[in-house]
Amino acid sequence: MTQQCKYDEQLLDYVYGELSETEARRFAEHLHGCGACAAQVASFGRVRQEFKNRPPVEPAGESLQRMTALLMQAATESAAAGSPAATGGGGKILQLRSRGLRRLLLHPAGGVMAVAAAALFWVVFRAQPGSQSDTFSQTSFQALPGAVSAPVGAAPAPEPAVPTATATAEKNAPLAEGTTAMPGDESPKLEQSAGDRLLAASKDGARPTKPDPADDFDGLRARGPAKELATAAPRSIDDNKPQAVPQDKRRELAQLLPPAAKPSPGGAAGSTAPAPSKPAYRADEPLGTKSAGAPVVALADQAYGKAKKTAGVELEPAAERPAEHWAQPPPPPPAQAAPASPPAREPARDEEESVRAGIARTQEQRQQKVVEALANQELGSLGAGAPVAQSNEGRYAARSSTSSTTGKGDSSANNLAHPGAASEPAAPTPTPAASAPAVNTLTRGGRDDSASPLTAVREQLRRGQCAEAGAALTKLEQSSPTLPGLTDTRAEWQSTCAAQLFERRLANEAPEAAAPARASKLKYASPAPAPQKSPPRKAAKPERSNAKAADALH
Amino acid sequence: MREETNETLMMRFRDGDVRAFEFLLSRHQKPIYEFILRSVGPYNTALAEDLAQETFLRVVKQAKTYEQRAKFTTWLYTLARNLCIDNSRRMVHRKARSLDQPDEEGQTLLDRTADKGQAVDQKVIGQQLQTRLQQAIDALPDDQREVFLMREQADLSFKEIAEVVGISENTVKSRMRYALEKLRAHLEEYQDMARALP
Repeated sequence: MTQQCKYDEQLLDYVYGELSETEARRFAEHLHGCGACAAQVASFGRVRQEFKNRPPVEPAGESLQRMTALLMQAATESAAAGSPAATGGGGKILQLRSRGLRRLLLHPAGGVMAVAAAALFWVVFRAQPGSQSDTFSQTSFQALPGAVSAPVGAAPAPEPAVPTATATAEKNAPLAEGTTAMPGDESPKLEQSAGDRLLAASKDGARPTKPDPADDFDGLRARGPAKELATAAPRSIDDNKPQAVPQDKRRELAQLLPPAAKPSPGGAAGSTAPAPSKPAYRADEPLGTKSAGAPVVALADQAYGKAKKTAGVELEPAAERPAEHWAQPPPPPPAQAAPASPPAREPARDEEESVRAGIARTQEQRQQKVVEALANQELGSLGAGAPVAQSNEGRYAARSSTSSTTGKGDSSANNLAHPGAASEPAAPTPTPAASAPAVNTLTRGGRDDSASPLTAVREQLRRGQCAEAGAALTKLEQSSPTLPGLTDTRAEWQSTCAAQLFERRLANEAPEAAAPARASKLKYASPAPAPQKSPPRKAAKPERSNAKAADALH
Repeated sequence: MREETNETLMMRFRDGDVRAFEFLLSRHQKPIYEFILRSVGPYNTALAEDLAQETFLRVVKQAKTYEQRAKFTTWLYTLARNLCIDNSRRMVHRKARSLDQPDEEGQTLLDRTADKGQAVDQKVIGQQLQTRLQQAIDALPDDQREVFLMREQADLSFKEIAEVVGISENTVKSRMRYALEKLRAHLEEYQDMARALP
C-alpha cells in the first residue's frame, strides 16, 4: 500500500461488481500485473466471505408472527381509512392552514349568520321590482296552463272588466285616435290620472313618491294582484304611461253590461266614495301559489258576476281596505260595472249620510236647547214666566243695551220695582202650564216674524197678563224701538193695564201715598226715555215680596 | 406479484392493496431485522425486533405520501437507520449489560448457564471467527459500520448508500474501504491464531 496504484479508485467497484464489463476486464488484467491490488482484492474478498458465512440472524418465530400480524393489521386499517387526507390529517374535514379561518367557518354562530344573511338577501331581492323573482313569477305565470284562461292582452272579447289586462296589452301602442272615453268609463281616466300624477311630478322636478302598486290599477282596486298583473304584462311597458282602451272595444264592453250597472255620466264624479260597480275584490294570492293566472281570472270573472265561481282565490271585499286607500282621488264610476258584484260602497255611503244627518239633528237640538235655556233664564230674571217674543239678535241686543244702561237705571227693574207692577192681583195669574207653551211659541215663532212679538203681547193683554206684557213691551222697546205697531201696543197696554195696576197698587199701598207720586211713578212704565233717578234696588225686594204676598192673597 | 419490483408493490399498497404490503414485508422483514440487529448489537434481539416493527409501521403510516423518487430499499433503510441512530443516542446512558451480550470468549451468560452438550473444534473455531468478526464490526465507527452493513447486509450500491446517508459516493467508498481494512486486520489476527493451533 506504499505505492498508490492508479486503479486503486476502482478496487472497491471491482470487488462489489459495480464496474462496467470493459472496466472490469481491464481491472482484471491490471490485477495480473499489480500484486498489491490483487492482495487487497483477496483480503477484502475473505472479509466478505466470512461475513457471508456467518449464520443468518432471524427473529424468533413467535415474535416474527406477532410482528407480521401487527403490521398487517395496521396496513389494513390504513387502507380502509380511505383518502390520504383522512389518514394524514386525523379525520379533518377541512384542511385549513389558518386556524382562525377554520374557527370562523366551523363556528355555530357562523351558520346562523349565514342563514340570516341569506334571508335578508332574499327579502331585499324580493322587494326589488325588477328582481328575478318577478321575472320568475312572470315566467311561471306565462308557463302555467292556468294563465291561458285569462291571457293578458290576448283575452277574448268579453273580458272588459279587466281594464288593466286590456290596457296592458295595448300599453305600448300609442293612444289611438278616436279613443275617447266613454261616459262613466273610468278605467282609462284612472290609469291616465295615475300616470298623469307621476308624469306631472316628474315634469315638475319633484321626486314622485313611491307609486302605490294599486294606484295604476285603481280601476281594479286590486291591491294584491296589482303587482302580479304588472308582472304579467310585458316588462317593456311603461306603467306610468296613460293608457286607453279603444273606443270600439269600450262600446262593445258597454253593450255587454246591463244598463243598471252603467253609471250616470256625471254621477259619482264628485263623490268621495268609489263607485260600487267597481270591481271590489282583490286577490291577495300571489301568482304561483295556487294558480298562476288566478288573480286575473278572478278579476275578470268577478266583473261579470262570476267571482264566487272562481276557484282557489280568496276575494276580499273592498270595504276591508284601509282608510288611506280611499284617500286617493275618487274615480268616476267605471263603465264595466259588474251587475252582480255586491255594492260594497253603498252601505258605507248610507251610513255616512245617516251619521251626518244625525250630527245635524243633534246640533240643531242642542242649539234649540241653548236658546230655550237662555230665554227661560231671561224670563226668570224678568219675571215669573214672562214670555219674551223676540229674536236672538234682539234679545242679545237687549241684554247689551240693558247692561249699558245699568248705570243709568234699569227700566225693566224700575218697572218691576214699581209697586203697581209687582202687585197685579187683578190680572189672572197664568199657570206654568199655560205660560210655557206661550213662551215656546214666542221663542220659536218669533224668530222670523218680527210682528209676532207684538201679537204675543196683545194676546197677553187679552188674557190680562199685564206684567208679562209690560215686560215684553219694554224689551221690544229697547231692542227694536222702530218696530211697527210697538207704539200702538204700548198705548194699548197703558189703556188696559195702567189703570188696573194703579188701582191695585192703591188698594195695597197706604192711602197716604200721594197721587202725584203715583203719577210720577207711572211715568216709569211709559216708553219714554229712562228717568234721571232710579229707585234703589234694595227697595225692590220688599216690593217683590209684597207682590208675592198679594198674589198669594188672590 | 412476486416478480414485481419493490416500488410497484409500494405504489399498489399506497392505492389500498394490502397484499402488496404483505409481499414487501416478506421480502424485507428479515434483512431489516438483521441490519438493525447488526447496528444495535447482535445480541439486542428484542430491541432489534421493536425497531424493525417500528420501521415497517412507519412504512405503513407514510405509504400515502410515498413518491417513487428513489428506490424503495433506500427509503426503507433510511427509516431503519434513523431509528437505529435515535436508539444509539438513547443507549449512550445505558450501562447495563444484556444477558445476550457475549463475553470475550464469545459466550453469553445464557450460554454459560445452559449446557448444550457438544463442542466441536471446527465449530468452535467457526464460532470464534464469527465472534471476532462481529466484534470487529461492532468496533467499527458508526459511519463506517452503517456503510459496511448497508453494502454487505442490505446490498445497497454505493450510490444508494450515499443517498441514504446523505453523503457523496466517494465518501461512502472511503468509509467502506476503512471498514474493510479494519475487519481484515481482525480476521488476519484470528487466522494467525488459528494457524498456531495444533
